[in-house]
Amino acid sequence: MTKRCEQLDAYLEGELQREALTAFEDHLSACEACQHEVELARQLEEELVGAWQQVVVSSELRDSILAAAKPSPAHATETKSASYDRRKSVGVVAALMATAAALTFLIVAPQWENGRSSEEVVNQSSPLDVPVAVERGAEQVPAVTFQATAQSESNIIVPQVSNQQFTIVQVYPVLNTTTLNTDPEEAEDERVD
Amino acid sequence: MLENLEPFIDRVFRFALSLSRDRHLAEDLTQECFLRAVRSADQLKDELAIRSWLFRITLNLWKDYCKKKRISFHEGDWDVPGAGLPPLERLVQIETRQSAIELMQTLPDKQRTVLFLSAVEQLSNSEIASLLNTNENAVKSSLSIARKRMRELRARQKRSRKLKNEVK
Repeated sequence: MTKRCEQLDAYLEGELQREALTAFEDHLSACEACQHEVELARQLEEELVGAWQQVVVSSELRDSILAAAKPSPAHATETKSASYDRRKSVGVVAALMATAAALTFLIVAPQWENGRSSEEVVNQSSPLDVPVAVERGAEQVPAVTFQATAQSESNIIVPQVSNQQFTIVQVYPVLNTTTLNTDPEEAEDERVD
Repeated sequence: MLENLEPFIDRVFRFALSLSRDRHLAEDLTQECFLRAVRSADQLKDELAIRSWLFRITLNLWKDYCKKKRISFHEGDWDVPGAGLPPLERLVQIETRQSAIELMQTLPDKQRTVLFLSAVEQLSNSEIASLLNTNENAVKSSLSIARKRMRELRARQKRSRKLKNEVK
């Protein structure tokens, strides 16, 4: 190994210029060891680049990335907004349920028969303007409100409704805690603080 | 800006693979890289710099992963030539059938990364230095060591192959 051979790395990295480059090239033409190294470096670089070009992602991953990169903007916004609103409304309902002195449940009885469950109906004239709950053809099913009088184990106020045909469609707080129960003593017991 | 992402998917995946040396990890890094890229596309000012931008995201994701898993990466000082270079004997045993990629993957982190970016991605030394937050001399020195080590590994491979043939 000569002094010139030591410049092999600099030559391979393209660092030699002008006279130094010419001098090394002269040396290279006569030095078999350096020729061998240069050829080896060239082969390795070529092999390395060629081998890496063969490395590709799976088609599943490619499709997944491209699908994520081109979302439908309207759909993406809507989904995000909807999920955010859902969380927000759950929070609002929970807060209302936790703080409301009493809740009035708007209930729709699809096969409602007048008088059948009259004892369960404690308030048919809500303090709030009760809307029509559902429109079934020409017949409008009236909304019926119940004063909540019981608390479930999970601390959520639920109406005492035994008839399975009832469907709760809306829950809203009623700040007026006046009970409509005719018995004053019972009313005192049932008031939810 | 990100309309023509497809040509970069394989490149990011290769870079992630050269960093992590694990296909599943590289896939995760690639997916996360593009998710982040899409989310922060407004930060990309120059479409010509998209590759460097994606590589930077990938590198940061990999560093975060290493930190989380307490894996050391790029330990040592970039400015010290040969820092972190293990002696040849400590490298994994070189099998005669190993490809150039496998040889490369036995190199220490710094050398492997600069060699990939230079040889495979054809990035200039200054681009590599910018991506890796180091200077050009450090890159040059690591590249030189990496290439030299690759030649040594290949030479050893050839000797090993020759020896096997003689035994047969």
